[in-house]
Amino acid sequence: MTTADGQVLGTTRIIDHGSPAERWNLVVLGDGYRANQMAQFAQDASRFCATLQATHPFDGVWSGLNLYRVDVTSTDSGADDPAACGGPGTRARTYFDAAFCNNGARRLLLVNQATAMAVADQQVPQWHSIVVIVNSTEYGGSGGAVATYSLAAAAEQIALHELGHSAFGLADEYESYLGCGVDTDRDHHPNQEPGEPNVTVNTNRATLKWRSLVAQNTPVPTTRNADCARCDPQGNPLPAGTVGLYEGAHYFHCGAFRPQFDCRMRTLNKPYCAVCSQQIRRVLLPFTQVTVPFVGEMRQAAAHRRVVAAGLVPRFTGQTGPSAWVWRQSPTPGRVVRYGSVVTMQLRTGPIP
Amino acid sequence: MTEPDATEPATPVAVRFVFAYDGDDVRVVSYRQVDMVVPEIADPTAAEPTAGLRAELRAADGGILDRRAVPAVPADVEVFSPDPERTAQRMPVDRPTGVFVVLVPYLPDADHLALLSDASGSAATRAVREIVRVPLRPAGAEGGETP
Repeated sequence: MTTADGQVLGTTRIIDHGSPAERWNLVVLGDGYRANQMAQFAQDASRFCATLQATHPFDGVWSGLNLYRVDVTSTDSGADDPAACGGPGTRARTYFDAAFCNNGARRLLLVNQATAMAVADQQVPQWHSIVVIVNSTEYGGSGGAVATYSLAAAAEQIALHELGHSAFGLADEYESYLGCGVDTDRDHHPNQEPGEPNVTVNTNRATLKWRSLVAQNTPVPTTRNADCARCDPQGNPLPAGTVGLYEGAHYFHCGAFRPQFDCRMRTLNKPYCAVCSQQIRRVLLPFTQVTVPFVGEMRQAAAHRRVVAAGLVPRFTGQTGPSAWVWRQSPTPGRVVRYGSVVTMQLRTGPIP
Repeated sequence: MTEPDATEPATPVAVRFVFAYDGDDVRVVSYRQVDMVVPEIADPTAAEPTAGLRAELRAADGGILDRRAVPAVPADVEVFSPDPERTAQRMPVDRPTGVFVVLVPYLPDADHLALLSDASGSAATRAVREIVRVPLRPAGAEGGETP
């Protein structure tokens, strides 16, 4: 029930892309694992790591991430699962005090988030996000500052959804609050633009915040809910993956829009939509590394394009103009630098020798 | 063709604040300096702060040195279902409790961090309320537990 019910054994960097001072650092903790179950926890943490790596867009920015596994033992295996919510009435003495049946909801699985942060602080001071795996096969999980999930099938999708909130500032895209068919006060979203990048009340194509991803032939709005008293029952009228403006989002049936028909921020077992993927990439790209391209003796415009395409920022010195070409560059080609670093190119004009 | 490599910028240093909330009461639990990169989660091109909770790192004269959105203190929780057709819903809570983190760049001129609640409404009329102010120790001093 408390930190007296176990101990912190140590930390392993299971994905190592370099100094934690320069990477985005995710800490994986375990709760309800006895001392003789640390090998199982290592497997469970590695499985989460593999899932994350295989999930777009994390696959494309993987070099920016470090993942740490912190081994923490508990006196008992599992988590509290009170009979009041239909559980077996299990009581488990665990380090982070994992328990189902919070707020009367069997599936709401919480841990002591302050304790999780304190352990992460001590073991990996440069942590950006924390995920806690609870050693129970009962389905459950939760979000907030610390994402938590159990070992039930597909429960790790909860962690991916919650990272969308806590690490990347994404909103929920589902169009109900208590649930479709339950809500009676979720007809119209307030006419105020949400701050998150993946929901909007704006129906103007020219100023829509994800307008760069909307094809010209995609109607805007893309779908409308004909009955704002309920969730929109219509299916997706366009091919899956089409970015547009779909009505029903941010806990309201009408007046708020999501970028794609479905997304992990709406339905757990779906991929992140293009807008959410773009946001995740935008946050993580500065943590990645890129190789400086060779631009020697290239014309200025071509060198500019190549440097930008590599994820770097071009800066030119010397004489510019249509005949300008790169005489010197810094850093040297082939050097690995942080995404977004400046490449300075010294120019000369005239024929290239 | 090439010249010696340019020096890369030094790794930024951050300050991580941990806050706890219990109902309407928000208090700082701790803060510490950390050698890490601060992610830019909000759109850097957004000119105006959006309504909600935000943190401002300020100089002694009140000038804003850094400003970033903070996840709202929730009045509800997100509950998940194994049913793939009905995977998530919100559930109100009587008395929300929990913790959240604010990560900001370390800036030598920073005097304090203010946590602000920016209520809904038009930009001209909406009310901004300071919830808590965390004085920072002099530059160079380590962070730590605070009252």
